[in-house]
Amino acid sequence: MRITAAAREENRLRILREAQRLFASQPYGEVTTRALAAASGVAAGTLFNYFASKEALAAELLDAAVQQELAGLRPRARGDESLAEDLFALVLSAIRALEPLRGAVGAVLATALGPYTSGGDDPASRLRQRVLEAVRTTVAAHGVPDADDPITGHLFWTLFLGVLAFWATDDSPAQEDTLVLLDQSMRLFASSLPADPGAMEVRDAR
Amino acid sequence: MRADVMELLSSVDDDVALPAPLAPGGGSRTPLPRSRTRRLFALGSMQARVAAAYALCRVREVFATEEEKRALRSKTHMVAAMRLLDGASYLRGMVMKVAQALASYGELTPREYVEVLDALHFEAPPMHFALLREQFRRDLGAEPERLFASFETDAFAAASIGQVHAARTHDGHDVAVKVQYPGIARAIDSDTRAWLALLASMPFLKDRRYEADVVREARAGLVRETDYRVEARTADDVAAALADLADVVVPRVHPALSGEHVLTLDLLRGDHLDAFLARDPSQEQRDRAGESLLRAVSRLYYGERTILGDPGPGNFLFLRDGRLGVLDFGCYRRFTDAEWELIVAMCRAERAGADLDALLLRCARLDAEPHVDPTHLQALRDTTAWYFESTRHEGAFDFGDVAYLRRGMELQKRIMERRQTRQMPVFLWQTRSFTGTRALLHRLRARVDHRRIDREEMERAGVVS
Repeated sequence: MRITAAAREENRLRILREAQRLFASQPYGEVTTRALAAASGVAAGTLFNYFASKEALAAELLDAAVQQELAGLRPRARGDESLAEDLFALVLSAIRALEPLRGAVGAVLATALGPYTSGGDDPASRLRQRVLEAVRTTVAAHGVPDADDPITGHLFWTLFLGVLAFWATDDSPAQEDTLVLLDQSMRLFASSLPADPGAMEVRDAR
Repeated sequence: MRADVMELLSSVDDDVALPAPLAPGGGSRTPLPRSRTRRLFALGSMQARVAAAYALCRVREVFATEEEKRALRSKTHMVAAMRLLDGASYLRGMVMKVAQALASYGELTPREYVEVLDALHFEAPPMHFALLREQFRRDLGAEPERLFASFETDAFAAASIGQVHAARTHDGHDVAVKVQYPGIARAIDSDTRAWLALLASMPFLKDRRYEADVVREARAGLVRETDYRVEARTADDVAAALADLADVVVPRVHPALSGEHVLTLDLLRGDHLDAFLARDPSQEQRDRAGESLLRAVSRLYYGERTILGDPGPGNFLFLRDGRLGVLDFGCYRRFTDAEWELIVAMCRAERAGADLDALLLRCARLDAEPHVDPTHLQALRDTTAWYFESTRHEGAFDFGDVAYLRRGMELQKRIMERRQTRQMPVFLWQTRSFTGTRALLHRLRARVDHRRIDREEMERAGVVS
């Protein structure tokens, strides 16, 4: 039986919805592809026609969550933010969006996401491009030259993954250590940029 | 604590470049070390660097003229202070508190220390607004923009473990909002563990066991300070205790806008000590401020059995109408029943003109020793006599008297040189309170009838009849 494009998209979205629900309610490792297929009303093998693996499915969810969150961000919204502050807000928004999927982040980092992720049309690569585009926009808004420099992007991506990896297993109260690590990482990153316009100078008008 | 720190400082010294992150207005750029090992290393290296500066100074003094010796010592004090400041910014939490304690002693500390460390009263590593907003979300469930009618994104003061912002509540009250750095409670806990580990590794340190008790006491106090809910309760208690003192103002807590890491209090408007002194106040204004300070400290001490542990200049505000504002409620220590019993015994013995030696030995934890160094007992007598000098004096006591302060400084110096610093842990706070209050009164050049205030408050609390 042939399946229409609309029906295929409907199946894909249903699988994503069910995966979101299952990943949020159960430990990631206990959610099997068989359970995902059953919850989505498709055959076990059919699931792989839509997503290459459980990690690819999770990466798709991560990308969708981050996409929605980053769309609402505006650098220098207040006008007096430092670059480090805006980048902190950017990553914190992404982390907040990923909160329901926190259990899946570690596994996706270990497989689909990595420092070498780039270029393809897979969800992990799309996530990388999306985050780095938001970073470029933010950096450019602060008047930093060479915002497109690939080294800049690579450095940020590495720090971003590091923060995510730390956050995924952070057992400090309310994951407060992640806040500190993120703050320090963004200060470090901002200070590494050419003609950094006060990235380390957190506004402090005392 | 001062004695402990000075002891650590004096045991260590070099001629190294001053730390880089001391640019005016800037905070430390060094990341906050959280792992115990890394913190231990940082604390150890700070101590070693400060110590190295003094050791080199001593060697150089051998070949120097008197004039050169003075210049050399002055430079060494400055280098040590800069290093301590750098370390304070780095380790934040506890070491910053210690550095602040040093700064509050005014002329009791070498001038250069005070100049450099004074900055710590109002300078702490800043938090940007995005981080602060997140602290609000986590603590109060909403962002400051929603919780307040207006909120200043720039801090107007630094608390040792956070920063203070001006805001206006939806019902129109101007407030000061203290926001804490994330993770500071655990950082302080980690610092104090490191401090204890350092003490354990210094077998040559006299009275190490007692020093460790004092650090444990400091640790308990500092950890308590990191919970702003405790501070809010203390502020309420202090407000109730001082409610009938017309010349003292305690800001009101806004409980709905306060939590573990956020504390909202009424905003008081006035001058800190330096600004107050810069206005060249009359002797009458100085005396009034001094009297308010002593009255508030004594009321809490006798009436509430509570020590105001940090009477640093940053914790008081001199209002334009002449009243004194109390700003900080983190560093208070209530006596236990056993400790209070000893204090009452001391007050009564002093009032009766009785011999204080046995009580002094208990305070110094020397009462079970088979042999007590006579110079140690004499140091206890002299220090106590110095503290009691103002309450024994008939009429207004001139706290601006340099000779009085110098005698206290000499006593402290001798005690440290001889390492006669053993004490019951609660006296960590009492020494800090008594010495800090006198340092503040000295800077005010206040003349206050301390004897009258002391007696009135003791009688009011039923300590003496």
